[in-house]
Amino acid sequence: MKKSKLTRNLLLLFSILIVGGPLSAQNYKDHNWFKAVNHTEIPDSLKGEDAVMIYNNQYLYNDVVDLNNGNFLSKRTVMRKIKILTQKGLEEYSKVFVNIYPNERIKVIDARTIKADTKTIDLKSKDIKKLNFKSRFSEDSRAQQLRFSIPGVEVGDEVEIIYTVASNVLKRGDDISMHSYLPCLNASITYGSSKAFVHEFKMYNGMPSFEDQSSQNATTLVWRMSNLKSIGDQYRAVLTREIPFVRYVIRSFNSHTNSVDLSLNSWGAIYKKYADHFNDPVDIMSSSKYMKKFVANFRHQNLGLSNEQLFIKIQQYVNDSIEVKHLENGFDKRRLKYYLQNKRINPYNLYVLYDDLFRLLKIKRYICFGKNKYNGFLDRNFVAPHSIQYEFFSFYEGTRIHFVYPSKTYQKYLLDELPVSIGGSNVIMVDGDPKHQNDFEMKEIKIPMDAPEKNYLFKKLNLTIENPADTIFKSVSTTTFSGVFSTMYREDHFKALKKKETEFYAPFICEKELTIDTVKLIDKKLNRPFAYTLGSEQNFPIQMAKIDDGLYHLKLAQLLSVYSVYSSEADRFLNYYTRYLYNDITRINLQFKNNIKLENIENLRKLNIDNQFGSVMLNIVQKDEKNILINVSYRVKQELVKPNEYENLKELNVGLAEILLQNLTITFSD
Amino acid sequence: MKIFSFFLFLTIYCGSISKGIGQIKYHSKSHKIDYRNGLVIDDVKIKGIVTDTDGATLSVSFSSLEKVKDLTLVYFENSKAKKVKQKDFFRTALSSTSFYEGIEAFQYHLEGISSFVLTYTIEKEDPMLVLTFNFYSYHPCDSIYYGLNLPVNKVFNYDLPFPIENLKIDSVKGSERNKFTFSAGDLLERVVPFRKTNYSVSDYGSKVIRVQIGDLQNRNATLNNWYQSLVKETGELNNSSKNIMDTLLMGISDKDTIVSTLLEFVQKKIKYIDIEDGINAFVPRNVNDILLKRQGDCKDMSNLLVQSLKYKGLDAYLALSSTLSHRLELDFPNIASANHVVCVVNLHDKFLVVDGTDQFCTYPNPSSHTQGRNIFVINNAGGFFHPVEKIPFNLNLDSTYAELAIINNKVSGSVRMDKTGLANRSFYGLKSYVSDNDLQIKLKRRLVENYKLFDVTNLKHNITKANAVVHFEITQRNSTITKVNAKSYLAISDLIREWYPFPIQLQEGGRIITYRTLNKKMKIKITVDTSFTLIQPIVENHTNGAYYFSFKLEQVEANQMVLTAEIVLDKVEIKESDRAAYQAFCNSIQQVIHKSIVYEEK
Repeated sequence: MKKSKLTRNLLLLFSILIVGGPLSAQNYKDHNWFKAVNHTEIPDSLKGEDAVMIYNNQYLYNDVVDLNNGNFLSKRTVMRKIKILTQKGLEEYSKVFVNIYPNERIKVIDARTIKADTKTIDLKSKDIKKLNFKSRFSEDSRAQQLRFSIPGVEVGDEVEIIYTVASNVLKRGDDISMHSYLPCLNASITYGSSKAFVHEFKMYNGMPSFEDQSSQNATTLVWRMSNLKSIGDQYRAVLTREIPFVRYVIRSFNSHTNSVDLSLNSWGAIYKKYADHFNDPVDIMSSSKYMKKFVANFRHQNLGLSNEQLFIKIQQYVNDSIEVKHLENGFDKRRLKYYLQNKRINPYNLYVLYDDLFRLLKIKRYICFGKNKYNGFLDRNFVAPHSIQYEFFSFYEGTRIHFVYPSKTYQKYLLDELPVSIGGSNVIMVDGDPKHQNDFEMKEIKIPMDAPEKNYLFKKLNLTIENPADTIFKSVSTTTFSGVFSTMYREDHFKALKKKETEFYAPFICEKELTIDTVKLIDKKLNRPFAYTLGSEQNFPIQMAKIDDGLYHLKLAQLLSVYSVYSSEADRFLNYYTRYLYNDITRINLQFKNNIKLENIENLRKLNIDNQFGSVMLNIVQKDEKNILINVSYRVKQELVKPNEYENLKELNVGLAEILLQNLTITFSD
Repeated sequence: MKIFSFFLFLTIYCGSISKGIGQIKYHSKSHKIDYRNGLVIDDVKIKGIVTDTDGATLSVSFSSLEKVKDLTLVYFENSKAKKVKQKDFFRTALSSTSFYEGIEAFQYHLEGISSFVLTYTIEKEDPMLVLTFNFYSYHPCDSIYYGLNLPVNKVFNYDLPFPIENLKIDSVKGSERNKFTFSAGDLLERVVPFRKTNYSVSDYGSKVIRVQIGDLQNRNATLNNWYQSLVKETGELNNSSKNIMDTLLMGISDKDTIVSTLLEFVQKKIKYIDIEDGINAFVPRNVNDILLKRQGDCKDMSNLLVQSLKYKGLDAYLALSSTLSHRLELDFPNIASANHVVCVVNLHDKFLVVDGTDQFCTYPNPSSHTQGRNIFVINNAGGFFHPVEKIPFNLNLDSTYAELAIINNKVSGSVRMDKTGLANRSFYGLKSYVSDNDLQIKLKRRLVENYKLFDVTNLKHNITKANAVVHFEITQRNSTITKVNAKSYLAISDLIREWYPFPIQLQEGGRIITYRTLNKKMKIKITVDTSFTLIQPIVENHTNGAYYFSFKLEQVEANQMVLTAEIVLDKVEIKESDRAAYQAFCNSIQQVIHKSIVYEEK
């Protein structure tokens, strides 16, 4: 547990390095360090931290090696000095894990420890361990990881780290921030490039202006900030909405003889790129006779449907009948006929298929560009291809907009179903003429977050209690997964049902280990919010504690499993963005053989909490002499939580914990 | 707690198919192991079937002390046999719990349901690295076979730590070579080699035969001399290192103080980093390098302690250890039986464990994870097993004293906790790990976890390595007292959440490791805002050898009652043989926890 957290922190701290080629770790040359200087005094305000970054300097450099061959050089150097203040800081910031990806290489990597008397202990390159990871899904790509432990570090020491990553693939755009997962005294970004490049820069969230240190031949811009807060522990913050950063895009290259457009500087250009991508240039896959016949057959079977309705029919057929999977070389570039006949298709060709269907059905479709909500918003006024993470389609049926998110190998998406992480973010929709990139139509819409009325888990549990001294009771349950819960679980649940597995269902109805006898699909809806219901039968383990003659305690926690949001204890200075709004509802019917009386109903009525962030409610009634009905609801209703409102989130979880610890005090009559 | 995983790969991953993705069933798995020309050659053949419609990835893992050769997969697609050679597998590193182990695997993904035959050869240079014959596998397996072919000058020893059902053992002795076979069928249970959650451990992977292939009849000496020869390369303290030790121990002549000072130095100054690649999976690195870089793992730290103690004239040794979490006891001389290395010092006619990996190990007590288990001491006389005594429960006092009041049916009051020895580990561990600011926050969070029905305020603490004293106040937010027919009921579990910190049930085929003997004492004075009669005084006593539980709830004044309880668990490991006694002990505690205080106001 500790280790996984540590790894995560280190991976965050050291960002992502990218390198390729069969380098040996021993090839890294030791860096020539400057003479170490006296330790930096840490301000009193930071002495409670585990570690403090003395400086965090980043240098980015783009150059042209040979334009004719498209040979560029992109380099990134990071230099950091960290003061270790606690044992935890020592554990987390002296062991280094560096991820390296294809196409790039490490030019320099080194570290050293600086003692209080300025003596140093250097890392030897032979002590850098390298792991080569390979995956069957990407035969050509090697993910590597370098691991080293900075030698000689003790609490109170400073450690200094440098690395340089180089690539011959031009880094055409990036978002760069000076904040890190530690508080930082001084930070800088230096961007350098050949003057031949034409850039656009945009500063966000109060990023300071740069110092222009450019010369005749090179562009050099420097940004500096000091006394930066740590962005660690700001769980579910959207950093690019609040943290200062600069976004750059290289738009073109100007040589002595010509100008080369390197980037995509309008939504029309981006649209053209994707439209071209979905259209095979040699036209072997799209709009074949087979496809025309395929569509005609559907039309024949569904007379009277509009083109849009026909598309919806076909899309549903594709979703139901054709498996999306990675296909080996040779099977990944066939005509669409091949995929439709063999009932399997890879993700790329699914895009091609949908685009072809739109064309054949003469439906005006938009290509939509989106971004994970937690990575910020797409800036419609500053087109930056690197910030696009999702591409999918939309079209109108009358005034109603539909989204088509092509399914992935791991997840099927129904009509109008989108990945959970898009909810609450903006999407740019573009349509136009691929041959004329200036002739396009663009719209920006916000994908709304569904309300808890659509995103919910609704669990019903019926328990029959004959003898309170027993510890196992017969029960039946149903759970409805709606909205995001359907998106998140449906694929795995249906696969498990197909394999006749049952254990996946237990955590939804009980915190304790539970053996489910049977689970079956009771209902499923193909339209938003895609709700499906599972039903189960099981023997439910409950221990009722006898506290007096005929009087028993039953702890509520034994009956419930509530899906709650995580709340961290850290001080909050950035907004919290709720992943999705939802309601977790549990309705339990306790049916007794004997006549009973619930004795402490008054105490149990005082536990509800309803604040701006959400509510947690317990509602118990004794329906008649033999039945108790329990309703528990945990509802999240606030999309954006300001730092001063974060206590509301914590309060909800405290309230839930208190509810779960309550006992029902029940008198049993003979 | 550090994770001691060294050696583990040799027993779990060594030349074996590790966990892949997808469902697979083995029909048979055979190892034909031959020792020729100084090489151990293990020919492996696996027949099986992929039963997963999504296909499955076959994975052959190996360490850097092993070579995989002649890897061939034959599988059947539409009744046609297809052959895959070693070059068609992709070679990938595997992640492990260690910082670095250098474990790799050859992997190949079979699409859909398909039967297959997988063959390969594992080569290793040292017969002492043949450690276990494994009669379990991650995938269900019908039968497993091991055949061993040795020249007559090699001495073969084996041991079954746990029974293996249906095991057949045979041997044929020849003039030049001896042959041994071990086989078992009906191994239908799918097993996970090692599963650990909190204090519970499931050792399904205990179905092994431990083996030793050596040159001497004395099997202890075989292990001892082999390990000693490997450790010889790690060197003695050089002048620079000696200077550091001289400075550290300046003016100290008392031997006990020398040991405790050195232990504290290693605990505080040497960072734990487990790089367990190749031979360094079990052999320490150069001792001076460890001191210079201030980092190493258990064997590095222990070797530094041994060399430093020797330099100061003390009688110190390296010892192999099987920690409490290890599935095998250290009672057979091979390194699969161990997962840890400690320093042992011979003082006052006792062999005392000095373990720098345990930040809270206090000389002369052993570390928490080595207590109650054997160590194997490496010396110049053939080595020997030595039992490590567990730390007595009375040194691990965990006491709670509370003065509570019930006013208007709500409970509030003050609580004081006193912890010593290993009971203080979590508090002292926190204090020595985080800043003072964080300590206050995290300590409060832990207390709130235990008192979820209460607001916790006015937290004060004094935490040292020797003991911790923590005061705080609690106020119930909502009443949990129920009144029925003039009687008031207050659940005892509402007053103290963590009565007993360990699992109350021993899982089938599992163990419970507590890492400490327990001595928990509680006294709670409860004053009610009116005179009352305690309707049901409670008295419970349970005594059975290592298990003791007593509980008493009595009225002491017209408006006051006192709850006293004591739990003693004089064990660090609960095994199958302890099941009945342990269950009775836990039941006794559980019965009381589920009771309520019943009183009637006058």
